[in-house]
Amino acid sequence: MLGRIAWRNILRNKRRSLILITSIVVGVVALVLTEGFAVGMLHQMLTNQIGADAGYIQIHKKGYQSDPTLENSMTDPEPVRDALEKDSAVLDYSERLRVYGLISSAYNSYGVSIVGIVPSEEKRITTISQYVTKGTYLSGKPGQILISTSMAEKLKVGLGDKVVIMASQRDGSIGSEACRIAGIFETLNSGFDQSHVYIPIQTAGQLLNADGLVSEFVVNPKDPDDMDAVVSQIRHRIEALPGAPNRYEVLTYEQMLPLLVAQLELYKQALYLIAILIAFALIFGIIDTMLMSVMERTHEFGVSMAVGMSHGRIFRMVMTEALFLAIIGTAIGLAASYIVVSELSHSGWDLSMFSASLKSLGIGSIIYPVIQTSSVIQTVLIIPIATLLGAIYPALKAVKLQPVEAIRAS
Amino acid sequence: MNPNASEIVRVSGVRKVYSDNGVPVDALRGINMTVLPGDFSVIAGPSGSGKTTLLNIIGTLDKPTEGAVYLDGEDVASKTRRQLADIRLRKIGFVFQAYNLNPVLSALENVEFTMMLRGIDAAERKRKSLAILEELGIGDLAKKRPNEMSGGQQQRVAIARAISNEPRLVLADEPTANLDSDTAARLLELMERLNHEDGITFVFSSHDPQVIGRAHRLLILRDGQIVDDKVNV
Repeated sequence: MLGRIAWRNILRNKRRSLILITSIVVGVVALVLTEGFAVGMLHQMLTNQIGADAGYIQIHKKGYQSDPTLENSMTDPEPVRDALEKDSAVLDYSERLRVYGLISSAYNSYGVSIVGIVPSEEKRITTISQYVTKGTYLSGKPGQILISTSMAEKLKVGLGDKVVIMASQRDGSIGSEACRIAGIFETLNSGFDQSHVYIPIQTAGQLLNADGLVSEFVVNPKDPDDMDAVVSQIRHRIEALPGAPNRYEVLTYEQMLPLLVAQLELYKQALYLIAILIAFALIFGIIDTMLMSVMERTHEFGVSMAVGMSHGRIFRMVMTEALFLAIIGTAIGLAASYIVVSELSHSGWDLSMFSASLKSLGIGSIIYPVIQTSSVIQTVLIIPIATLLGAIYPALKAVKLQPVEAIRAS
Repeated sequence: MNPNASEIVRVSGVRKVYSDNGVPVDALRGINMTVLPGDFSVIAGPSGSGKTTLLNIIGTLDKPTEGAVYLDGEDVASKTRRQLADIRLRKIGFVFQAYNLNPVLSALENVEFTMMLRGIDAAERKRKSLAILEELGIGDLAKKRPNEMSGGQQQRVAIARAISNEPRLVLADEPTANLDSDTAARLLELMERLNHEDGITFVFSSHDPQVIGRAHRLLILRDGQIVDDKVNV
């Protein structure tokens, strides 16, 4: 019966209840959308980085991750290649020869990561071929190079122009190759663009005088959602190779991109802070409105106390009202958030006006929000709890009323 | 003092001092009285004589500045707020001048309310409440909310609520003040019947001659003191 009374008390002042429910709905939508966009953004940051360069898994010679030099590259990659060919968990793989060097034009020189790739393999593994905006992707013909738009601007070169790349060989001598610009790319990450150029792996071998050398195998698994099992399977197979164990390292993107992963973790922590701030704002809104509702019913509370209603029951009645409001507000808020996110998850939120800043973070200018189950659970917990916390003070106010004075209140 | 166990209420040397803008005002000055089972007593007196204050103190809604109130032989001064609420729930029924029904509940639910507080199950309290409403001649109003009823009807529901828990004592504070004389008369007849037939004890505060005229015992209060106490008036 307390529940019935609480429900009717909600209905008796529809305008105030509507205001309260609206503030809860706004809190829920703010929380879900903030999280949705932040998670979507972080997800894009990570997938862009995985898609453009890192891949999900990489296999190196032991020590390459901490000291990425030619000495730590694989001189005999064939066993690894064979193992990957036979592994059922592997969807695709590609091999690269990567070295830090210099790219020069007649005007300028810049330090870059020179990535020697097998163009046909790389096309299946990363998205770099899709980011070519001018010219063509590498055909595999020796002497071609892909550079970014920003690098082309800095070097003052264009399609078909020649640039020279230089890098240290294993014996310490400097190798150089003249390459012709086959294509110009522009990814969603301006920092990446300024520091990467692509050449065929044979050209890289010539440059470094190290034919057949491989720095890294990049692997995309069939089931990226089950990384632990996939990595375990690949690691097991690699460890079984002749000369292994302790000859190779099998790394996930989380191990390869520790800074990015730490950054994502930091953002997630910041989201908790935002959630707490939203909850606080809601608590104060609830206190204000519920207090008004309680004060308006002072006389009724007095009469209820007079006829024997205990303070505990009065407290519970006010809290029940808050709980009903919280349930209604949270349900409507989640439904509204779902509609908004469903719509925006297809069309995205166009933030072109901030595209420069977003590119520096490795994010596209259109953000696609993502609702995670954990966000919904968090919202379903935080908002009703905040509502109930906000109702405690008004409920205590009702409890502290003195029956005689309360009955006298008009 | 050893109060007589047969007394429902014993008020002993009760004094109540209010502060009116810092100035102490004596609302009650040394009240001594008892209420016995089956009483149909009226505390009468002009406005400001302390009738409502005395009724509130008997009903444990207010505390005396000095003196003691015994309910069924127990000194209520030592009781906690929770215990006092329980005493009011089980032993005392209230009828107010302004009816004071819960506006969001129907007549039936208002009567059920106090039974719910006692933990009586839904089916039992509905059956009992309907029976009480029928007994009071307002069974047809069961589903009506207070704003759909006349003052007299609301006061009947208030009486039904007051007696629903079979209290030892019903305190009625100016119960006829807002009613026309015909309605007031019918209401008083009802309470008299409940007193005669069901043995319910009533204590009224009133200056309504109709109420005073039906009193079995009349206590005249003036300036916070009982100046006259007539039995079998």
